[in-house]
Amino acid sequence: MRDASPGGILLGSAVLFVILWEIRSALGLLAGVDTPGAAYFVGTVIVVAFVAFGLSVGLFQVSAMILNERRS
Amino acid sequence: MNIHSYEKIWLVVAILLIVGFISTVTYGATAVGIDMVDDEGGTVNASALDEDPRFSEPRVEQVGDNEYEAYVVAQQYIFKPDPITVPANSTVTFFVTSPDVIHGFEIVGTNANTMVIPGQVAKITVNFNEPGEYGVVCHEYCGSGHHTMEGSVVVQPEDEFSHGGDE
Amino acid sequence: MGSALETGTPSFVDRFPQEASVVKAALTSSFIALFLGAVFGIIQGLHRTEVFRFLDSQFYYTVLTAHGVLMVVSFTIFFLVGIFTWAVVRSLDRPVEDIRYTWAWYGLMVVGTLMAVVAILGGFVPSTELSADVLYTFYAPLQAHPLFYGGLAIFIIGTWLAGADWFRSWYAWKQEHPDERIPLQTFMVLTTMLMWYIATIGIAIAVVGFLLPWSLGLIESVNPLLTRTLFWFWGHPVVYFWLMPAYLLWYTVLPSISGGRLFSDPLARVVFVLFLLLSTPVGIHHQYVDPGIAEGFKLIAMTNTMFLLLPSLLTAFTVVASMEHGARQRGGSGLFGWLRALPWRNPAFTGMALAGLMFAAGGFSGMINAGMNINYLVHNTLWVPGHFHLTVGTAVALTFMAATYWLWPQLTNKPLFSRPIALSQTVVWFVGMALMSNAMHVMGLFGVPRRTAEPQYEGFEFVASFGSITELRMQLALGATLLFISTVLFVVNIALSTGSPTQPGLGQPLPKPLSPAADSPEVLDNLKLWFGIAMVLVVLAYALPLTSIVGDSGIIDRGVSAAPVMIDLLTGLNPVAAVTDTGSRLGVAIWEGML
Repeated sequence: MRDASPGGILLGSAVLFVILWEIRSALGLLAGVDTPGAAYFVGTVIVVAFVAFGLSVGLFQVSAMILNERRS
Repeated sequence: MNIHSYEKIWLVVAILLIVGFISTVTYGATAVGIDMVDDEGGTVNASALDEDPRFSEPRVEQVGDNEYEAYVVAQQYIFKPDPITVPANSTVTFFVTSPDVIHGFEIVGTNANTMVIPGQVAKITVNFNEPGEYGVVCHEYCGSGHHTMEGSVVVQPEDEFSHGGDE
Repeated sequence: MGSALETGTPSFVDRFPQEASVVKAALTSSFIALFLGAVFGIIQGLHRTEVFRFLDSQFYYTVLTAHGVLMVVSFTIFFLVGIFTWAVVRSLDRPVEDIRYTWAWYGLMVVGTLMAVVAILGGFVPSTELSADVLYTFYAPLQAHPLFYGGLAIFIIGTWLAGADWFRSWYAWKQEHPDERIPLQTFMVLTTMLMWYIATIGIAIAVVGFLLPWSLGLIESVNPLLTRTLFWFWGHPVVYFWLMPAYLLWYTVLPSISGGRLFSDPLARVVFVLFLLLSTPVGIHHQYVDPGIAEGFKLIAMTNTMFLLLPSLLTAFTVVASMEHGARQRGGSGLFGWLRALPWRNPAFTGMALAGLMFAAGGFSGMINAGMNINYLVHNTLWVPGHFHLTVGTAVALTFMAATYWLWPQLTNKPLFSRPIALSQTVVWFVGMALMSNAMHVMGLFGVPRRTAEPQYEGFEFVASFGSITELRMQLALGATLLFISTVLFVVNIALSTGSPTQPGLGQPLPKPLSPAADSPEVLDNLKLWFGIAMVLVVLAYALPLTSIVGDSGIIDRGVSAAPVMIDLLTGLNPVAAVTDTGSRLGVAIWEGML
């Protein structure tokens, strides 16, 4: 049983995508790590899709992912 | 005034951050010695550059041991001289001006970056280490051909360098 | 209209129908500018990245001028006058003193905008002398047609008269409420306008004193460093003119949408007073690498700029605290768990929350810009547009769009056409902007310049420390495309909302703050004091630099000639011909294919 709404999943996916994508720039500029663009993009999309899927079928519970939240 | 304790902490942190930023910039300006482009270059008559001994013949000139001066004119849509040739392991002071509109002068991939304003002379001192070639870009819109305006700086090995730099 | 009282709170249009008309007109003008600006924006995004070019590159600068002026002069400021009229009328709970005067200043702003836009669009028709390919910053000696400068001047005068309108309302209210604190929204409007009056001194002198007469041939030349410095006297505070309405919305509307109340009214007042004091004496930070300005003045501008971070950092605290309060009122609990209880399905909330989040990133890149010697690395590179698309492009623009979703039904008594589309619009904007701005920041660090139609040079290559420049260009183009789609979604949603049936009870009252105005020292309301101090700070920051520029190179510089921006008729097609040329070739090809 999922506890995330469709709108929440959309929004969360968007924010997660942005965070993961920005990490590529941080790796490149700060750590000098070069990552192949297309592969990284595909990888990011896969991770985001997996999290979205998991949330929508109740595989992950949002409440369990947040610290100090009591599970009811 | 009622200020929540978390807000007081935040306020202190914010001020420390601000003071920290001011300190690092001031450190860069003083201890590390990074000078900003300023009014030291003086002014010039933009419509009489050909009467100015520096800008009538844009060139690179030696003025001391490993010290050079480069007189550069930025105009629609070229840099003169092109290329600007300097020797490796030198300190070059650029004097850049324009006879027409505002341009930019940036040695791509470096922090040598200045505005070029007609009537003003931009004076900026740059240390060149290893031999190599750099592009120079005009980064301030200067008219319909702005995107074609580019130049280059060639840093030659010391033994190869010959005076003039405007061949 | 009796049904409004029966079924819910009366809306703004129920209580103040005439004022609602002005607010709607201002917002409509704002959205028209936004849409046109967006069309030009996508053309740029695809052109400079080599993804799709249909114009000769010289017209890129016409497009860029239009995009800049429409977005940061028309879109933002029309929205501001709309929202400020709403805020003053609502918080003072009284109609404007003279509705004809209100329409008059709005009309002036429209006239000014049309003049400037016609001048700019004239740049697409090379056979006329009408053009203003000078970009939003119109640096002399590049010279536009006088219609451009005249239009800008009239527009600014319109905004001055708008401010006077709101001061009038406040004076009238004060006669009837002599011992009361200024209501918070009106306080914010008045402090913003005081800042504006100070800020526009620079641009008024530059345009009316120099550039307009120069373009009319009345004076023979100008001093480009002087007019540039006067521009930036205004050019920095104008960004706060864009931001402060967004802050007004974050402070007074967002807490309510979050389900709660504003954390602290006094701190909100302090923040706006700080903006009044510090917004203007910082303009020289846009001129860190200008010749002709002594380093000491640049250092002072740097210090003032760093302190200007303070009101924004304080805002971050108050906004998040207010959101948390709202979330806990809605039943949220836990150290971070309250985030889930926020009304994420409400596009007005999500838009503002995403805008605030993105603003944090924009603020950090702004801190880099402010770092005087660090500025050498980023000045005039693509990093700078990366920065300001996060701040004005998202913090301001997305907040304005989100606020519209909340306010428009209260101005029309009609619900929003589609809430899911509105929510998607805010998310698409966020993702599109993240991609585009990230690409811009990174390319800027690699040295790629801004304001350039074809940043692909023959003599050298830009070196990317990861990925490639081509990839970054693709990312920029993708981000720009998403932003354009998002703009269309917004404009269409609002347009279609006019077809909804009228509904009563759409009013949304705003609750009082947790810590009320009475908690704050009365000196905060002493507008004359703050205005006075602000003027002193501006004089301290600008008197010496301006005197020394004039002393060194004159109030006008006779050595500098005007450079009118006329498209060279001999090179390149004009854009109308470019499009019809392509079209006719396609037509011939199809016709021959059919034969």
